[in-house]
Amino acid sequence: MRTTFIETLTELAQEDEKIMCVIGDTGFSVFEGFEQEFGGRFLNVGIAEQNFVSIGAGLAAMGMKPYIYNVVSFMTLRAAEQIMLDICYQENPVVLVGVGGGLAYATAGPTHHALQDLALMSAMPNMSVVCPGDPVEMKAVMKQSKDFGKPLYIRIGRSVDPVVHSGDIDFKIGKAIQMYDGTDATLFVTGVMLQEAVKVRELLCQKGITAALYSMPSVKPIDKEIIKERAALGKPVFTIEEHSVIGGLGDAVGRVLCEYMADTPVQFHKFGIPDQFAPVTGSRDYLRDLFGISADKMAGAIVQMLGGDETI
Amino acid sequence: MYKKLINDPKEFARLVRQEVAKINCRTKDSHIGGGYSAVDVMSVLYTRILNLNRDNLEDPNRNIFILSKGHIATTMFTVLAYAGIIPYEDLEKHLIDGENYAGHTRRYTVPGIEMSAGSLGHGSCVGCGMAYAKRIQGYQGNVYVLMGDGECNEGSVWESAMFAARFQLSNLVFIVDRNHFQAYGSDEEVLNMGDLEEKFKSFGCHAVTIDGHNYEEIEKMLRASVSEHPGKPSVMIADTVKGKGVSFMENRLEWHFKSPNEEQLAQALKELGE
Repeated sequence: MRTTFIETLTELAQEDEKIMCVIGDTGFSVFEGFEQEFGGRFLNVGIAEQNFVSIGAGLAAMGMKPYIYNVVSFMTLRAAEQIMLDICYQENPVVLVGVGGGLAYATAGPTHHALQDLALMSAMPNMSVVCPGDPVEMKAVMKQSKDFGKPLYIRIGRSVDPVVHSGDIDFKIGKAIQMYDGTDATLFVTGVMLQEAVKVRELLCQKGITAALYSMPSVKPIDKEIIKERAALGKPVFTIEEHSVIGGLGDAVGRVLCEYMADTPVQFHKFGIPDQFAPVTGSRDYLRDLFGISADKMAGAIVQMLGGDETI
Repeated sequence: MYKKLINDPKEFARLVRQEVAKINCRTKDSHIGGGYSAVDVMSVLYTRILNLNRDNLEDPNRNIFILSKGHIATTMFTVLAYAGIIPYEDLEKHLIDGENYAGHTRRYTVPGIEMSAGSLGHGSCVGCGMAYAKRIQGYQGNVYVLMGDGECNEGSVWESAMFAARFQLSNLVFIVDRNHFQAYGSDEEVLNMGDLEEKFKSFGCHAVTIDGHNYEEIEKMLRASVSEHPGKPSVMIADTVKGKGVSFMENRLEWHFKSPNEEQLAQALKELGE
C-alpha cells in the first residue's frame, strides 16, 4: 500500500501544487522520485516526531496540503499531543499517513506493533480515521483525501499488500463497502485483515454458514446505517481488526449496536488483539494465530459461538 | 469600540500592564509575572514591527506572531485590544462562562490569535511549518514565536531549532522570554539550561541576548534579525524580569500564578503611573 500511496500522491501533486510530502526519516528508496520531481514540496524533518507533526500543522495553517508520512507507532504515540492540539484542536487539514499498522512489523517486536492507534486517533475530536483494506481501497481513500479539508488519519500496512477487490469500488469516507451478502451472520472488517476476513467467510460457507461481509475502511466516522440495518436482522455480528480490542473497529461497531440493542438483541464478538503485549517473537501469521485472529481460529470460534462443530 | 494603536511602545506597555493588573484583580486567575516580563517585547512587536491591523489578518503576506507561552493570555488579549485588533470591551469577556476569551489563547475564537496554545513546546515547531510554507509559496512576512525560558526544557523546542537551521529559515525568529523563573522555581534550580544563547548558536541559529525591557534594543534586534542574517533563523534571548514594573511582583516566584487583591492593585497602578 506504500507503493500505492506514493504513486497516487505523485499524481495528486502533479494536479495540485499545494500538496506536500513530509517524512520523518523513513521510507528510504520510496520517496526519491517525488523529491526529484517536486523539490521543496518534499521535506524530511528527521527523527523528531513532535516537530514532524507540528510542522505539518504549520504548513496546513499557511495553505499547504501536507501528507505527513511516518511509522504508525512512533507518530501516533510519541506525538499524540501534537496531533491532538496542533492538528485536531486547530482544525488543520493535515493527512497523516501511518505505515506499519497493526502487526505489519511483527518480528520487530512490541515497540513497532501499532495496536492502539485507532483508539488514540478516534478519540480526538475533528479527526477521521481510515484503514484501507487493500491497494484498491487505498487509491480510493487517497482520491478523497486531497480536498477532504479536515484532519485525516490513514493507516496502511506494508510496502506491498495483496489486492482483494477485483474491480473498482465506490467508496466514501464514512461508508462501508459490501463485499458479500449473507443471512446467518455479519462480519465487519477493517484494514488489511480484509483478506483474512474473506477466508473466514469461505471457511464458514464450507460449514453451511453464509455470512455477509463488509469492509469498513472508515472507522471514524463509522457507517451507523449499515450496522443498524444488519443488527435489525437479529443475527450475530463479528468485527475483525488487527488492533487492540479496546477502542478500535470493534468498539466503534459495538457502540452503535448498544444504541439499538433494546430493539433487537444480537450476539456480538470482537476479534482483535487482547489487552497485552506480544509475549514472544513472531511473524505476522504466527502472532495472528497466537492472538486468535488467523482465519482458521476466527472461523472456528464463530462456528462454536453459533453452536456448531468448531473443527475447521 | 476599537482603540487606536499608540505608536510608542513604552506607553503601550504601561497601559497594557495597568489593564492586566485590573483584569487579574477581577478574574483572580492569572499568570501576571510572565506577562509582565514579556510585555515590553510584545509592545515593540505590535507598535513597530508586525504592522498588523484588523484588515490584514488573513493576508498570507502578513507577519505572524505566535504566542507559544499561551498562559499569558490575559496579556495577549490586552495587547490585541490596545493594538485595535479586538474591541476593547471584549476584555470583559475574559474567563467568563460561555465566552471565547479563555485562560490560554485559542485560534479562530479571537481575531489575531494565530495558534492555539497552552501546552508548551509547540509554537516553535508550528512556526517552522509556517515559515517553510511562506517561503515555498513566495509569501512575504516573517514568523515570530514568543516562548518562555522554562519552555526551553521541552525537547521539541530543540527539534525545531535544528530544523530551522537545517532549512535556513531566515524568516523565522524565536524570542525567548528569559525571566529566569518557571512554575516551581528558578530555571537554575529546576533544570539549569545554562547559556541559552550558546545552545541555540550550537544548533546553527543566529542568537543574541538583549535587555528585554529596553525598547530601542528590542526594536533594533528584531529589525536586524531578519535583514542581516540571511540563511539562518534568529533567536532573541530577551533577558527580562518576572513581574517587571511592579516592585512587589518582581523576581517573586509566587507572582507566576498569583492575582493582585484590591490593595495590591492600587499599589500596582500607582507604580505603573496612574
